[in-house]
Amino acid sequence: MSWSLFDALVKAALGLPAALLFTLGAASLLSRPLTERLTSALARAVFGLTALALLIAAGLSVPLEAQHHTISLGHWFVAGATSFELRLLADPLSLTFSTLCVVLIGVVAVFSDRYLHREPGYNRYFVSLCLFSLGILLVVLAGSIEVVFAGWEMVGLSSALLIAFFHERPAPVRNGLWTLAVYRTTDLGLLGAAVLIHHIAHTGNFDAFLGASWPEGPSPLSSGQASAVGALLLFATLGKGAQLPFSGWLARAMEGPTPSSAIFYGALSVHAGAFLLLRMGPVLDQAPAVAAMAVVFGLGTAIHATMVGRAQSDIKTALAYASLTQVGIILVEIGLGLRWIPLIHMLGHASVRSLQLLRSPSLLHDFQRLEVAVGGHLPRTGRYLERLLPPRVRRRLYAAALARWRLDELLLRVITPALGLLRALDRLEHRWCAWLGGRAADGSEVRRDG
Amino acid sequence: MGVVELPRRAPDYVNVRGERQSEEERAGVLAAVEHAAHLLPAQGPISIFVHHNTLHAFEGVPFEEAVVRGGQALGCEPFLSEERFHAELSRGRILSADLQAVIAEDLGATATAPVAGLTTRQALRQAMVQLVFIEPGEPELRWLLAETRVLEHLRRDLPPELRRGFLDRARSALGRDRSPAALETGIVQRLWTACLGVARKAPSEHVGASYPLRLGDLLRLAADAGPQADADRLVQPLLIRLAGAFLDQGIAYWGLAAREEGFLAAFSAVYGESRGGERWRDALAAVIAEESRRGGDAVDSVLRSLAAMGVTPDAYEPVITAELLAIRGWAGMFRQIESRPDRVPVQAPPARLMDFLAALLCAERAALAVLAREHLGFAGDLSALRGWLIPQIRPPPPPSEEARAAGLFQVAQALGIDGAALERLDREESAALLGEISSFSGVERRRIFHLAYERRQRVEALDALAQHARRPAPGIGSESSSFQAVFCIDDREESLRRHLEEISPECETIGFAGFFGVAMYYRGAEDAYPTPLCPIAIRPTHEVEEEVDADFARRAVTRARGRRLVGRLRRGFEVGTRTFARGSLLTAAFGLLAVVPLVSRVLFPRLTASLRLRGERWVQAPSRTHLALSRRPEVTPQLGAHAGYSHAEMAGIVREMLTLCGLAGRLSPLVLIVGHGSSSLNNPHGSAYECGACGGGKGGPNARAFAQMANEPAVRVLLAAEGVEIPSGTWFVGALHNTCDDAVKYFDVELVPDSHKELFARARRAIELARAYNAHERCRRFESAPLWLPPMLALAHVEARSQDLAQVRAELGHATNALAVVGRRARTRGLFCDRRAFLISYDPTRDDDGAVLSRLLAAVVPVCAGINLEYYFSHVDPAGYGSGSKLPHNLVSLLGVMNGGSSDLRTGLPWQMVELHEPVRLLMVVEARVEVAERVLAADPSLRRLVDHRWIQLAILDPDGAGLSLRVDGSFKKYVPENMVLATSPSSSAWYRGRRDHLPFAQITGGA
Repeated sequence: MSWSLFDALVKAALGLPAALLFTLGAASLLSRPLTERLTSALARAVFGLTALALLIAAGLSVPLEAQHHTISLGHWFVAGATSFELRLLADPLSLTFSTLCVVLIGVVAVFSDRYLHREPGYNRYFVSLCLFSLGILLVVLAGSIEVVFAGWEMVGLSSALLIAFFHERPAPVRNGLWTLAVYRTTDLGLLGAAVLIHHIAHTGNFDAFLGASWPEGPSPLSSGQASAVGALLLFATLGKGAQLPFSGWLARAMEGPTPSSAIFYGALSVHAGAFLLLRMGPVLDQAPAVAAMAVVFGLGTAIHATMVGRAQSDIKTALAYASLTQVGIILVEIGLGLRWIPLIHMLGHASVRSLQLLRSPSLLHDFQRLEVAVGGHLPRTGRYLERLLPPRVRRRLYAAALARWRLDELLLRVITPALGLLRALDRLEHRWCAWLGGRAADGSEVRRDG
Repeated sequence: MGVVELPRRAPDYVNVRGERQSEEERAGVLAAVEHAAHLLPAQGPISIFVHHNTLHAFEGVPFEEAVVRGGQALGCEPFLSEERFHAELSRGRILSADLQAVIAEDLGATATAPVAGLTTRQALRQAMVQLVFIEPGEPELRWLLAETRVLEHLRRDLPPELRRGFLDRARSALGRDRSPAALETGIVQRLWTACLGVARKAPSEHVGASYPLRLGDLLRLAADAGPQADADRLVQPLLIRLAGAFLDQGIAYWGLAAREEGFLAAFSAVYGESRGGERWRDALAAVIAEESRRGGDAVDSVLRSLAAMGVTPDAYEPVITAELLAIRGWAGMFRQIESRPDRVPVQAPPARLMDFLAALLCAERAALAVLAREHLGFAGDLSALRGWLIPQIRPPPPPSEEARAAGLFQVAQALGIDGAALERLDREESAALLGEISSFSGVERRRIFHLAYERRQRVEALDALAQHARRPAPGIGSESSSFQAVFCIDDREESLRRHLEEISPECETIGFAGFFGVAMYYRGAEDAYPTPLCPIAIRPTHEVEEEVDADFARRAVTRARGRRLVGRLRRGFEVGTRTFARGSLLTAAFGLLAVVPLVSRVLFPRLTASLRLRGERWVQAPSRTHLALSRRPEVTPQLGAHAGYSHAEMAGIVREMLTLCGLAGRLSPLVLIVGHGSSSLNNPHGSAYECGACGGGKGGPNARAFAQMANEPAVRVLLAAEGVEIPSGTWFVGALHNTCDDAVKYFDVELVPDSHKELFARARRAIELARAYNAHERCRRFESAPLWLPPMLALAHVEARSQDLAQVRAELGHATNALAVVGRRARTRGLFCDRRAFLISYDPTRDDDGAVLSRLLAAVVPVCAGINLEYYFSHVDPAGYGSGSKLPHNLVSLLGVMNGGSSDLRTGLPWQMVELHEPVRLLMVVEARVEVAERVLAADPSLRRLVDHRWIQLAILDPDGAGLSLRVDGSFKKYVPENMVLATSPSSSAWYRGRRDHLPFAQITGGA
């Protein structure tokens, strides 16, 4: 009885945002977008109920001792030994994190309702927010790698759409596209990992490669298998978590409305990668080299972000890099084999940072109040650096920080030749197709934009 | 804020012994930058937002011309769009009669001149604005002709009688046997052929090609690579990031080094080294190295860059202007800080516009050279690039015959002209007809629309004032009031004053600039440092401090200590969470606690705010304070020349105020002086909602200081000697009205003498009720406040708004301002002005020579016109003149806002603030005789310029009657009212209740 209630609650937590997404999206597609008032009421009800469902589920999980409870949503298909099961997993990790997710999303939905009042893209914004909340809940509650992948893509797509929210100006669109490109590239890691896992275990279910229960596992994979899977997962994490060398997109992502920046880049989206690695902890245990790589990338990112962030003079970019610093440290913690500390760190950091981002337009007000409290101009920060470092070094570091280590330029230098190669392959394919179809290469109608 | 210190030697870059360019050329650049600087936005740091005319630089030319020229220079719209005006026309906000009157006035004697023997100029223009007139581009036109049925049907919006006329004529010509549909197609096709014929006969006007001034724009136009060849995309992010760091007032943890040497030095230091980055950055490093080798100052560098880009001295001014305008927000901020370093919130860096320009040009040189080489294969010297690019740009083709006929085709239908009539036209007539149509261009049509739009509003306002003056509302004219309340002239106080007088007919309200003549640097008991509280044009000479009463001094000290502790903790937490080690400890250990404020502040803003206030009471300075207002020669003020005022100075201030607003000699027993301010969260533009007369601060201290001055017995003695008597039975009380949450706070209440306590309590009760009704009236404009809210809940609603982190419209500010009335309150008392009027008290019966009026107008006209015009421009082009939507705004350097992480500084007002505004020029109605008004205008050239260049509309109201005259073409012409009926309503709330939109004027009869 209790288990069935529990299952129903978890399913409802996914079903409600999905239903809202469908309602808002379908209404827009039929050119009959819901009114602001109705959207707002629905969003409040849906996110309120979702939060309630997960809170009750989390409460029930204690007496039920839900250490590793799987919920099946059915099979996508089964073919021989290979099956694609849509499966959720309720355990302390997924329940705590998903509860925080819906609380934060709910708060941001209420905030956005007032913040975006009378904005022409109001409806579009809420569609993206629903897509995101469904995606992040799928990632967190997933019990198989396919479900993770589905959620992962929804998070990425909604993120890019909201960065480009003000699509009448070129900069947001450009930055949204940049972010999408980084996401899509690194998503190959997750896709590759999924394929590999299927190849090894003939199923994507977590038990098959993560062991019986989180966090101990242990993973049944061999060390070699675990290293390959782990490396691919780490690659996926680097993109979504804005780790080196992909960090540049996070600062570019501050183009959307403030609440979306808060929920995506202060709180949830930026932690999705760290969450995935945390979930895959047992795999990392089997692959010390990958764990060491996670430490290296995390530490590098944290150092990069803390330096760059200190030189930024606009509040949203400064907060973006502050966020990144902590995500880097969380990655280090995961790489070191810790489990509960990174979880608590993630929860705490997501809460603090989203509040700070939501308050960022009030900065002037807060600053003046602080001056009143302190009774003068605020003291200078960062003076200890002057004692520690010689001026020449400081100048170099500052210039590098202001230029954000030129990471994006570096990426472009890698990408440009890669794009050239891809374009050449594309041309080749067109010619090949044309030859097969018996047409001249230049007269081809199937030519797409390169 | 931390500054990385560098050795204090002059950087190589500013080696003044280097190559000096000729003095003549240097002077050319200096003059060009000076010229360009006038066009830059004049908005200073956002913490002190002062409304000003966005096109201030163009005040020397008439408004209608200025908006067009300014719009061209800045790439902005001059008027609302035609589409928007058509919507106003169809909903009756503009009437056909308005269009007719405006066109007739505009054309003057030529209105009835025939055009090609078919119609008159007036009729032609009328037709072009009455029906939707489109000027499609060539591709759109081709699509319309091929894919729609414009060549089969007469236009659908044709009035039925015109349509019938067409059909009847065709029927009589072609016979009755055709079906109506075939008939119609026949008419239309013949008409189209005839229009094409006319276009063929008339010679095509030759349009010369013009090329952009900036080399970067030219490159973008020429390069097929499109956005890839955009130098701005390379240069601007680089420059913006450094400019933000250079001007930063405390956001960055780690400050820019060696700011004292200026922006150009910082630019060379930071970008002078390049290690195998992108090619253009290497090129930039090379340019910087070369510049540093050649020495000289910023002007020399600018000259070298201009030469390198092939700019000849005669083009310095336009090119420099175009370059600076392309990044005008930041350039303007450099200029503002350079000219008014005292307005910078923390510490002014040595910002110089010339440095900024030199850095900009260096970067562009490098970027352009690389882009031209990479995308166009241009290998030559950069100075030859312009000449090389121009031949590659194809000039736009001349308009096709179809395009030239399209306008005529629409007009002919609207005027009922048949194809046959057009076929008879000869060459000259054809040219005249097409010429007449093309001379009434889109901008011209919008100008006519705009004039009509303003005319409707003006006619309604003037008619209402005339009717109200002719038949005043009952209850007006009772000479003695038991208390008077002086408010700021602000349009937002109009409703509060009206409600107060409705609730308490024994009260008279007065309007005076909200600093009440007290220009001072003020430091409150909690303030860290003094701030100026006076109009921005004045630099105060006096400093006033608020002191805690002696009995509470010890408590003040402990609370200040507590406050400091709390402040340091909060600051420590905020900064700490952004760092590496402290950040991880803080976020991991205490992070989850942030969920509590996050949820409570967003879901229950009002409750959270009241809890917070209750908590903060423990560390607040004690409320028992007084102003140290009297002169203290022994104290050296932090700012200004004197600490406190002498009695003579106080008497001067009180006398001036009482004289200007006509209160002298008719004071009531109790006079409230009510300043105003506004408090809201999540609002970088918060200062724009504060009192403009207090330089974007709260006017409470000024009101308090004025009351204290006027209550001072020694001051009263001095005043009596000058003939301005304050009766001994009169008491002044200062107060502060918060226009956002409608709270009213009184000062020095404990000093009110026993004799006045009862009266004060009565006045206070009236204001309590009035502020609830004020909130009620404001709420009708907020969609998120239901229309059924009773006044008390409306008050709760506005309180919640002011404390809401998510609220981007805490209040609507001056949106909807349209009118200013200078005159006795009796002229406007009981008139519902819908919070659209600045009300300035003035008594013309005691000012025969206009001396008082002259001083009054000199002070209030620039303020009101500044507000009105800033709202005009920010509404007409929200993205160009305004700062666009607030939603992506990002506070940078504590000085301004950007869109997202890297954009030009966005100046002007955000859309959320101006959304409801009707962009009309301020209609100023002054109660004065014609001779007095003429004299005042003659004596004040800047006022005359504003009026006669039509930046404001001026009308005068006869002090002895109800006659109005309107200023037209430099003289006053008698105004004849159009509508002799003024609506009446028993009370304001009965008039506005249940309605959201702008409301017409009404007389409040007070019968309810």
